Amino acid sequence: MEFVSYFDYQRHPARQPALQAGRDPRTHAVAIVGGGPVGLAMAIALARQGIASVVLEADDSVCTGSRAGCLTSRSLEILEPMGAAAAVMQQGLPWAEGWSYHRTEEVLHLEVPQDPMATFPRLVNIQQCYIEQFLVDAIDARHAELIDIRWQTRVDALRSDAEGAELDVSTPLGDYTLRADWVVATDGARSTVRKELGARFVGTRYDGQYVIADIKMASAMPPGRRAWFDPPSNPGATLLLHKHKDDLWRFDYQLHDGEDPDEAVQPENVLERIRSHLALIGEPAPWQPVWISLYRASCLTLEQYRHGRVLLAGDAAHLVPIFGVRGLNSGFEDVNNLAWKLAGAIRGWADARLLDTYTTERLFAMRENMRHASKSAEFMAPPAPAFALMRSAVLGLAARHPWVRRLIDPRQSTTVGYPESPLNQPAAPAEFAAGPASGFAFVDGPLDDGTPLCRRIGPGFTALAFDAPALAGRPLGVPGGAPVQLLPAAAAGALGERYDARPGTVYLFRPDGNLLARWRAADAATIQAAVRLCCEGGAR
Amino acid sequence: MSTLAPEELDELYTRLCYRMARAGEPATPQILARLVLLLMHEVGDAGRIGQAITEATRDFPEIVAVESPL
Repeated sequence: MEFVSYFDYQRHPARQPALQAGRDPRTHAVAIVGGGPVGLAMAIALARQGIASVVLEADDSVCTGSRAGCLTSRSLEILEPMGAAAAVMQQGLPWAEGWSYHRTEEVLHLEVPQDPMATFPRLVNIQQCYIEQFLVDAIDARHAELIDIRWQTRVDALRSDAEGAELDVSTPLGDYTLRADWVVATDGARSTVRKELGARFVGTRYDGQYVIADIKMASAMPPGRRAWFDPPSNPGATLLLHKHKDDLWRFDYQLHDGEDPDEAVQPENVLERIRSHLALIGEPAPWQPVWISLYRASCLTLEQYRHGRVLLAGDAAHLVPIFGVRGLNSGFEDVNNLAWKLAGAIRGWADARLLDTYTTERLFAMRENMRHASKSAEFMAPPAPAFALMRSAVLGLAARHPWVRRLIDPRQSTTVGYPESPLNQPAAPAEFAAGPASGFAFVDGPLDDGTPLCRRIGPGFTALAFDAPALAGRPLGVPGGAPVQLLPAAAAGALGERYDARPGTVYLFRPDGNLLARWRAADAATIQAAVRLCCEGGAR
Repeated sequence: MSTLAPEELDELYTRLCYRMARAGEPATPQILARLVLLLMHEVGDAGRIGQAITEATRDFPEIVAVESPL
């Protein structure tokens, strides 16, 4: 069978700056190692804070093949101000349903709850190569002056010191050394930067191996998550099937115990298993293969995401099993959490303690992600016979006992807040019957003019003030510090209801859209003091 | 506290043994696992179920390394 491609890839030439004695003579504010989705988003998030960066990418194009496959509404809210969400929505396929089968019997029908007031659907299937291309497009269209992407530039070594880091890079045009005040490592699971720092992952690498295969097939089956346990087409193992736009379908199946991965990944073997599964579900549409790859599930994290002037994000910092889509989505949350803190450190309005909360907050979120993702992974691929026995009992009971289906639920990703963050300020939460508590992300909804709140969050702090006219025209920011915008809204409106607002209620959001504090009444001085305390890294 | 009469316990025990024996040895752990899940649901008290897990496993020391990511 002939393989077909996702789209026509644009190849980017290698470039080299004018070197002086083998060095890039400029000291860069930020060097981003790795131009994958997290690195590209990091560059845009920094540019929105007015910070220039150089992105060092080893390849000459966006990624090929099957990688991340699904974005959450939170990721789309993060991509929206970057100018990439509209393109993702156009190429993406929202889904809100799932079906799990034991052999051929349906044991779970999953409905993903939607928020009727949110701008974006909860889950949107899209292949990573498109996401990367849309981020490159957004950089070209909006941020070309602040972002310098250097394709075909591989980082071979890193030496960090108190003021920054030196990076040795190689390109087809020759090698050189580059200096940056800060380094953000987004170079993926096999991160060179992580190795150069000598930083070690802790956690678990699961035994099971999986094949991912994308095919092109004009099938009328509706979008959604389809999971099979022990299907006749892959006996004793699992198989997942997901629809994407443009007739793309993704198979993700587990290899049997003792199956040789090198053998299993051979196209003829993969295509045979796909053929047999399509026959099982009675799908008659013709199809063509697009991509085949092999992976292993891991639950691993660094215990520190900041190493002096070097920060790690995305897969370079942590890995979770794919079940529940917490991989790339947590990478975008890293970007969202880090960009404004790093910008504050560079511009001088943030204490180094604020930058350290990047680890505190994101590590808390990663542990939550790992807790959920590992439960899903243990169900999908039992790590010991005891897990397999109990799973088989669950699957055997599920058809007649709805309560047991909770254990089959794939636990799709939800946004993890930071309830224990040192940045959180007391807000007497008992006084509020709704709305996000300190540390949690904003809840989307329409402002008085109909604009969704997600389009107005950032790049500075946001004071969402319900019927608080006294704040208009008052300086809310700290001189020389982080900017604070005032966003007025009516307490009686739809958003007011979501936030349990009364006249005078103020919600103060950080630049990443997480809540810093909320009050029933706040004057400009109260808001200023809260912003100052946040920029200092919270109460000592 | 159990409200099972001694004769009821006797009767249920014997019935389960005969039924599992007739299903054959490979089915025995499957049946027990299903029974445990059904009874967990019926008991509906996390504290009591937790104590029962502790009690059931106490004579069996951990001898196999099974990694947990957490």
